[in-house]
Amino acid sequence: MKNAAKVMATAGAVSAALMMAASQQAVAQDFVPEKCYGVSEAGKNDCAAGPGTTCAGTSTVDGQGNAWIYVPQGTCEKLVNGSLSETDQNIPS
Amino acid sequence: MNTPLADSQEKMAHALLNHSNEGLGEIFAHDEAELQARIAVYRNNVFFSLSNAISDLYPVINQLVGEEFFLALAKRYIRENPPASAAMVFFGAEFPEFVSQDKACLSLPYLADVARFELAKQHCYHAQDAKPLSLQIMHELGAEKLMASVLKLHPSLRLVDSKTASRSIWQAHQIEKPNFSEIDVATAEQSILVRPEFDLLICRADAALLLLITEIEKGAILAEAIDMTLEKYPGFDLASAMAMGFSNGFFTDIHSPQE
Amino acid sequence: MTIELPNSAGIGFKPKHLADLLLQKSEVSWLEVHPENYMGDGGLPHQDLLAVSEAFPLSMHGVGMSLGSADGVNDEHLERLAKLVDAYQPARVSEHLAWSHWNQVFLNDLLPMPYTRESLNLVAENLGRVQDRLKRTILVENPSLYLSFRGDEFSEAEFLNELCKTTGCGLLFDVNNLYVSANNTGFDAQQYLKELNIKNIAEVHLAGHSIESLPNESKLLIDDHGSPVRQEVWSLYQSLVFNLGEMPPTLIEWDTDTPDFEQMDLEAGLANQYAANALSNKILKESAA
Repeated sequence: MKNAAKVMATAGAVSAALMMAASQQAVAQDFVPEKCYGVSEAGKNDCAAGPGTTCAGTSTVDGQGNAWIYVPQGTCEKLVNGSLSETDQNIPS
Repeated sequence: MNTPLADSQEKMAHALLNHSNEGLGEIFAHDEAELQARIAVYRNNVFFSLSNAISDLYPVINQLVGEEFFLALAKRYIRENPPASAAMVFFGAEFPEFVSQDKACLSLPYLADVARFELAKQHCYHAQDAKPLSLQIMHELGAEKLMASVLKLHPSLRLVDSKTASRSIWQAHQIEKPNFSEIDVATAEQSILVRPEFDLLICRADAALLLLITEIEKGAILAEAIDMTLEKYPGFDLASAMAMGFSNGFFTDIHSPQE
Repeated sequence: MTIELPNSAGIGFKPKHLADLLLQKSEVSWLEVHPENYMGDGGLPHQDLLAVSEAFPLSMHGVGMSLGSADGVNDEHLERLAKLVDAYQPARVSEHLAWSHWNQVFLNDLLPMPYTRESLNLVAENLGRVQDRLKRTILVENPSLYLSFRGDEFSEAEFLNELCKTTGCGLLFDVNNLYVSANNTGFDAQQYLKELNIKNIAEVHLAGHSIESLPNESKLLIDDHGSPVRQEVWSLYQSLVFNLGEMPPTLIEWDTDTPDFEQMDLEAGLANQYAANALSNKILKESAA
């Protein structure tokens, strides 16, 4: 069952939203979008051979990606709690 | 039965992806050492171009874990999820799920969320263009008629619902000297990404607004979507949230509910 | 309305050159794009492409059709290409003599195929499907090779001559690829140019390559499009233009560490210059004879 006062209140809020949008009035800080300016990206498909090939077999990017030995060493180290200890690993992602 | 050509392509595809040169000796006219060196050029092309595509799509993940770790991660991903389409714009969509399952990433539970954020950004960037519904049209209709209508969402609009601070982490990597200490990674964050024209907008949202948009997306009449949201989140700032939607091109069309 | 590619220099389009291309007068008179980079639904890539397609004749140079795949061309990909060709009406559409996918896996590289009767029939069939769908003939590009096959039945030039004859396709002839392949698989580039039916050439590519060495110390050239066109390649280009008797639409490719527009313009200017020199040499020779 809808309560008439509630419907009125809701319509009022939508009406207010239209006014706010029209007047570019500052809305609650939480809802101000950040603009990520359109930067045209270079396409990812091309027909050039990749650099980094050396025929001695030390190519930087060949298929040997089975190394589990690498440890994350980027900005995650700067995040507080960015890298959880073993015991915390059940936190859902 | 494979034709000779099909057979050679199967062997070469296998050799490139699996780092083994098995069966290539009978196809190519080179001794083993030379074959190794020559096939390495193609193998490098495959992994270089594909890991580049992943790195272009997930630059913040790359920064978070560092180049070396990222490359190893990308290579595992490429082996398990090689592209099905020739257009690289479609490649890498399973990466967030892959990251969430990857053993080596278990200690970084926010990584998959940031990856989902970056994927949403890619989808928003390449989505179909559409002209947002003008404020004037909505004004002329008035609040009551709007409430009784079904709104159509902009085709570029994407919702990101994270249990971790995916947007804050992403944003911190967009500036020169970020202050990482202000981020609490364990804070759940909701975001709405939309591209009303060519600039992509990243909107902070909350669980209530996400629910409202999800209901609208399902085709609910606006009044019903609002009711459902307010019932679950009585403190929802409906006016501000709708104002953000109206002024940032969340909606492209409006129609009466179909009977 | 389809505009022809002009008989002058063009460059591969990069978004970072957009403003220069639209605002400056330059040596660049046409542009080439990879259609795969515009297979998203909308956004800035399409906006950019629309802007350049209104200002320049356009060539669409595919890298993903995999004309040499034994499991055929991918219908979905062909439909996407057809949609782009419809929307932007490029002057030319081209693809590679190569394969890239096997069993639904796309390897994102231009992989080589043996020059056999079986390959010829297969490429002709795949190419036929593409041309039927696009309702136009396309150009096929000679590959840069790093491997030699056992059991080739044709030379590459013979293979391309046959392919053009059976399918009606034209050639996008990459002079750098010729130079690279001749070195890497051991044939004579001049001899190749004598064998090749150059009347099929409707567009030419030029690019830089890098030099690596094999375990036996011999050189392996890598077609990485990452430097200026080398002098040896300019020489081959000049003899090709000399024999053609006119400058073909000639593209400078620079995809790895692409420089700023000034340097691209310089390379395009060189192509125009070398072609003009080759043609005046021809006139001199003919009037002397």
